[in-house]
Amino acid sequence: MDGVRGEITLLLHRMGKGDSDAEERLFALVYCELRRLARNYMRHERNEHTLQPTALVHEAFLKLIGTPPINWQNRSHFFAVSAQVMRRILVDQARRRLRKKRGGKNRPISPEEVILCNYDDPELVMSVHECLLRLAEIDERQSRIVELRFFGGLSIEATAEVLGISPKTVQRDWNYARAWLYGQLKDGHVYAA
Amino acid sequence: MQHNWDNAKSLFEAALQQPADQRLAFLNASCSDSSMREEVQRLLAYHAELGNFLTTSPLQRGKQISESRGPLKSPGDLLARRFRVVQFLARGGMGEVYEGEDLELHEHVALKMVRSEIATWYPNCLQRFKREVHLAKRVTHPNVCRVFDLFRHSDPGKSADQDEELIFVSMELLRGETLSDRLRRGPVNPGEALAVVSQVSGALDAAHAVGVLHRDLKPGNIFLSADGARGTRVVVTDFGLALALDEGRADSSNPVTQGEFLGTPAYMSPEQLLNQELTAASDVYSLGLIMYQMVTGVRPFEDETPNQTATRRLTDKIPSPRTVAPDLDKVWEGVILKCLERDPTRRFQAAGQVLGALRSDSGPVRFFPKARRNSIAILPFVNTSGNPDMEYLSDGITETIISTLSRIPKMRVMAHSTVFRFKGRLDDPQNIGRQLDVASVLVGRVFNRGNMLKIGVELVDVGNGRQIWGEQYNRNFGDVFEIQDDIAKEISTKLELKLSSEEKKHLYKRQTQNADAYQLYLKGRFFWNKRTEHDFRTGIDFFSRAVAIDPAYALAYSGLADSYTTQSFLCPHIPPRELMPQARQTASKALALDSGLAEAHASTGIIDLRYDWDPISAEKSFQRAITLKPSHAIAHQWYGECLAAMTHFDRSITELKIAQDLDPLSPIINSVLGGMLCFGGQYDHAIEQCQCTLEMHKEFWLALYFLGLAHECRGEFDEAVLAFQRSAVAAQKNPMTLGGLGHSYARAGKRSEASNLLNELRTLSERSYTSPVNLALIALGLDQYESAFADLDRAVEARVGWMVFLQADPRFKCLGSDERFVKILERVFGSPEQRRSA
Repeated sequence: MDGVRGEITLLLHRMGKGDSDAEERLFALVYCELRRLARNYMRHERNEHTLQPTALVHEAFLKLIGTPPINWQNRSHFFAVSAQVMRRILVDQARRRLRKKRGGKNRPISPEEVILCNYDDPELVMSVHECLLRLAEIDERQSRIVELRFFGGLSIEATAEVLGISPKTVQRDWNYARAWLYGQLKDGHVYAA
Repeated sequence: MQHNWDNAKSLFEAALQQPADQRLAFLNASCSDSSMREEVQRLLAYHAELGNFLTTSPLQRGKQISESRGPLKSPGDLLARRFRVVQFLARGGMGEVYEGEDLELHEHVALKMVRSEIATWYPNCLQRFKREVHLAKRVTHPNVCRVFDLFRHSDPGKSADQDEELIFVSMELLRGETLSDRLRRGPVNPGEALAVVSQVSGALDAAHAVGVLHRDLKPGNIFLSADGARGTRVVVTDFGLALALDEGRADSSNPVTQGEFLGTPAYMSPEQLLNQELTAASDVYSLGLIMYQMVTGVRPFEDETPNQTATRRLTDKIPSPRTVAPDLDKVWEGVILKCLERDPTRRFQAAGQVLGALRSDSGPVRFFPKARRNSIAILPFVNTSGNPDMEYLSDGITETIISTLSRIPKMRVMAHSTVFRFKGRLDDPQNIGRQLDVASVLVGRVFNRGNMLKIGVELVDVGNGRQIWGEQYNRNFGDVFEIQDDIAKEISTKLELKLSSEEKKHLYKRQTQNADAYQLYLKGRFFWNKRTEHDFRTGIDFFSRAVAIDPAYALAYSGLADSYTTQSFLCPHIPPRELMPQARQTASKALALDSGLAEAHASTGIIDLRYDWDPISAEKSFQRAITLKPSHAIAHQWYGECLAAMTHFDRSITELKIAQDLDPLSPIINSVLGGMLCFGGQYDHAIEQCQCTLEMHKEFWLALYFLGLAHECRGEFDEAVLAFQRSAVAAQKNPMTLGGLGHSYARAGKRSEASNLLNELRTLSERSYTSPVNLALIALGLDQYESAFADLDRAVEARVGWMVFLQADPRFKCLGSDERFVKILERVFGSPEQRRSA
């Protein structure tokens, strides 16, 4: 376990410097732990717990890291990476759901999907994801704000903390990005694969 | 492009500042580029329509599973036109269990339901279910839960789509608790363990005889039902049902079950983990693990995750249960290890053989034959004077005898706070003895009027309920010491304890010859035990009067020292510098008067630890105290805290478990054990321990405090905040609980709540003293390092006890190698000599 903890810290550090391999590896580790946790939750009688997917992703992380990341730098990374992980999970599973919907092989839904994807709108997730890719090219900061808010479930204040900007700026960018995304979706830039 | 985007954004923002009806005019006035104007206008129109667009994360919408998966049915619901739901009973991984009334046969049954989303993971779920109900019905045995029938229920009005259909099984309704619940509450006594082994092995044999394996035997599937004619009826549930849900595993093309376990890996045999063929010996293996857990309290390789535990059972040799419970009988050890052989052919081949091996010619084998013989519980003497004011005397005599016997080496004497839980409920001493797992109990009655003192005692063998010894004393009050000595002496003789002459001399050494001083001392202890600020003061008054009469009364000085120390810990509004020097002075006096007094050494140790932050000296004192009085639970507890302060967490836990063994019902010891588990990073165990404590002592603030801390360390901030809030309520906003709460608020992102608490404490601290550590903790949570360090500096100045945990308390870990923190550490742990002289 200590080995993994050390690795996570290192990966967070490297990611902070924009290393995309590190991101890939970190994602794989967290996702793997997350699936394991989700299965455990389904299997064991933990009826006293309310299961919140966001909390589950955080728990997966914490299990890997060991202790809550307390110093400032790491905590920002922690939320930023959590949001990315959640985005990928959602996109991944939305894709599969859509495939199934279109008559692909009727694959049963796994326990972790029940926990993580108890939502009804895979199209929305895919559309937002794709529009965000484009938004990132035009306005990187706005796309990160949407990622943290929409996929990461962070408040305006928390988003501001992670990005190191003022809440006011976040609110302004958020307004604009939302209107823009809404337009994109409304004008037919809808996920269609 | 970028330029346009930025311009459009500025324009959009500026327009939004305007009243809605003036925006168009504003745009026309401030932008000459018509395509840009149109773009912004469109965006403004979208903005007006946004509503909740993107405001809820899809994950949050997925949200609380147990909420969205709340009970499927409510009381009164009719199922399959035959059962009326009476109440929801439990939720498992697969579905839910309800109590239902069978409207045809007019009896109450259990209804086990499989959730439809689970059912859809398993193709042909219904067929499999049917076949397995069939199998389960073949097993008829009093220790197997009876399965009646399978039903299908569709809500009227809905389509009969299979996804919407509920499948449920009606079964025998059991009342009681599962072995898993039971184990969570504490150690299982030998009688209970044997009952479980004998009845479960009977159930397994009956099932195996008709070719049914259980495959998922675990404490959660073993029911302890109170309806047995003689004691507990043990019932195995979920026979065969596990198989139904488990079978898909062999089908490797099924992506869901491939490589996954649907049983509980924690109790699975190696062959089941490896997907190999199962036999009756596989269930025997699971039974072996359950026995291991019943006698030691843990499972072998109990590690962080169930899968790791299971994997180690594949690769490593199972350590003997005696490594955890050294006193375990060798027969039990051998039987358990034989059940846990990796090779199934080397295990018992039938469950009945397990039971057979535990029986000898003289009846069942007890698991702690030697150690437990030397164990006793002195139950609270009953005050028969008819005068409640004399409670202190009956309580005091009880405590004195406990204290005397506690000095005997290798004797386990149940501590004061545990036996006093039974005060007023002494109808069945033998049963209490069984619950406490002791060989004998002493019951007594005290009658006092004026100078007349009558004491009656009876020593009872818990094994057979017979009286070992009884006596009636009718004397003068002045003879109270002789009577107490006589009782202790008789007990040691009757229990055949071989004491050296040195030990005897030590045992019967009297602390005072003065009956009045003794009476005052007992009153002092009586109030000390109540642990409230007011009672501390009253207790201190009595102790002081005791030493005024007998200035050589060492034990009373030690009582004074403990009063000051404990008061300082529990009342953070009194500066340690006010109370602790008095504690130091009285403890030194006690030691000077009697260097062989265990209590005085323990009192000295805790002052060394909390006031001088000198764990090394404290350790010596605690070790001396424990040598002098091995059953002194508080000395073990304090020593455990001392070891944790030195970050020797494993040894700390060992010591606290000894304290717990001596005083299993003590709220303080149980909470501190939870706290030190948390300090040592064992958050899951800490949570479990705190919850156990809370089951015994509802809303006990210290257990809630450490529960909050453990949740916080696991990143479960909502749970953490909730626990700290409860702690603060229970402790009437004791600043220590507010410090914990504030820190958890900050960590949970509730910064304004944290700031408010910080301000509240700050205001308080300006008016009067309050422990600065609590301010520091909240400031740390808020990342206000400057102010946190200032508070920590003040805490060093004030010599706050909690500072000794600077290296142990996980909340300080973030300070790591910060220079300022290193300086504080140096001041705390640097040179105790300097501090003492300061």
